[in-house]
Amino acid sequence: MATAALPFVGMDAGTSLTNVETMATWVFWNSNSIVATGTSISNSVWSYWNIGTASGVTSQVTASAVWGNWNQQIIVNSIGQANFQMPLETEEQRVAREARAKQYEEETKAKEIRAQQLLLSFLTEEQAETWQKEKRFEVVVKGKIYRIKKHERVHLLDEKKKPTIAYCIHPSSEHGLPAEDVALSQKLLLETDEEAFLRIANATRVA
Amino acid sequence: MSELSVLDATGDTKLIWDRRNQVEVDAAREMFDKLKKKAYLAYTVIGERGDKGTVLNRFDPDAERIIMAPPSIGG
Repeated sequence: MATAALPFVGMDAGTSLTNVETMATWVFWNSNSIVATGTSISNSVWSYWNIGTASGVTSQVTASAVWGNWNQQIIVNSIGQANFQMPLETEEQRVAREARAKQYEEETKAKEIRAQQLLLSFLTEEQAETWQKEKRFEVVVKGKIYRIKKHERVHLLDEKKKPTIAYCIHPSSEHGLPAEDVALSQKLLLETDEEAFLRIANATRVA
Repeated sequence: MSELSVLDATGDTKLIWDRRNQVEVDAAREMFDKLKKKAYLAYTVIGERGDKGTVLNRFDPDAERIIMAPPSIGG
């Protein structure tokens, strides 16, 4: 079937599609096809192509509608931005959105407080003090000093308390633990099974 | 009374049991086993705060405090 062949002949004849914006372009393109192939009547070319394409799918498509949609998509895509206007938020929607945000904030704060209480119950006085002041504490394992810090990697420190190796290890993110829980799980694993900690963690030498 | 704390997105979820109450012990054991199957790590801590704990591979109904953490991964 020669359905799609006619327009593409026109393209080969030198018509550029980079600035396809208006119906005029299509008419021009079809005209080129007509000249190049000797086929007559541009509308019939387009209709024929559309009908052929549509029958290849499942249904008959109105030629003008197809062309309109296609052109619209090309324009949006080529410009890189869509000129859509978002519907305005109603007062009711705004109130609901703000209530959800407030609830989320309260829940987040509550879980952080819970996690902090749990963590502090596992820390020595000194560790608890540094956590509350600087969100970090040190753990001594077999004479080695590790520093656990909120939202950071665990560091192995040298005798001058300078980081030498950074260990990236954390409970799998699917559980969405608060940072205090992450610190607690790092501490417990380090203290009870340093070997496993070192095996699991990704280590990076600190310059 | 004994306590099982599971680290989760809410901070932690606690399960309390009385070692003399078999129903409560069974409930705690069931929770422990379920999480162990998901590769959670279990620790027991005895004594003052900051004391080092030990890894727990089996549920201990006499433990004062058990804490369970999701499996760790390298970042």
